[in-house]
Amino acid sequence: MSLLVPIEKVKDKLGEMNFSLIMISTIVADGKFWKKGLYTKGEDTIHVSHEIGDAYPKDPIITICGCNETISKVVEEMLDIAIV
Amino acid sequence: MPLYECNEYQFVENIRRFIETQEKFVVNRKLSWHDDAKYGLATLPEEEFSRYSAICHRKSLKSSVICTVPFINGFYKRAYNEGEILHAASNLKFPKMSIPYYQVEFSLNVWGGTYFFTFDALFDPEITMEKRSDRKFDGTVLIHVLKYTPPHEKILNINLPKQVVVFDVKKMIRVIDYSSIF
Repeated sequence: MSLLVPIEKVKDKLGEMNFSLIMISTIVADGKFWKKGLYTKGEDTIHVSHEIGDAYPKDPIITICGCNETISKVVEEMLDIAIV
Repeated sequence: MPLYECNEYQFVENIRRFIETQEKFVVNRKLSWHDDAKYGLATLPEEEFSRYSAICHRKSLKSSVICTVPFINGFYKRAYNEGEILHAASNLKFPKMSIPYYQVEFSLNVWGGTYFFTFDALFDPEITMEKRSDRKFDGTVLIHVLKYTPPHEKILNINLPKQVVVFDVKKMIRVIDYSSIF
């Protein structure tokens, strides 16, 4: 589930429900950096991820519907202006 | 054979729906270690970069990262001097010191299509003070040492229903179905 609440509130609530934070790791998925925490209570496990920033490279994403010449030209021009 | 990329929520939800069909199935998990300069210090979010603040500095995201103290990268057995650039703002794609990571891929083959979800898990940095000797320094010195620990397997999992069998695989080889051509 996705929640529009601060991570601190989620942590507090899981603590109240006797879930313990076992470990945290930094992962990259969907073009974002996330802090992923593993909470357990007996056999039950809960993963909580909260976003900490964008992964590089990020937007803009370009999609092209065109002839080969157009695609080559657009790619060439975009690479020229990109920070390498 | 078509490939369908999912995010974690879609992947798990698709499996839940599939379980409702009473079909038996297996989810494959591919775990591979990479160190291909995909991640560097200049492009880390502030929260993650702060874990390296004992040894380096940057003005802001995507600024050059410079050593503030001499240190040894224990993972690569390489020493860095104060003032050395670890990731240049002018060359963001190719950091001089890259961060190792695991690439994790979960995939499900069903009705001729493959649905997959991938993510990268960065190795955890730890900075300690140790006595070390290196040809860059005179004799044995007390120096910062950067160590990396792989993330634990438990954190690399996703929460799947207990009916799902997860197989670890080394590589997924795409099979070409020639029978459909003739």
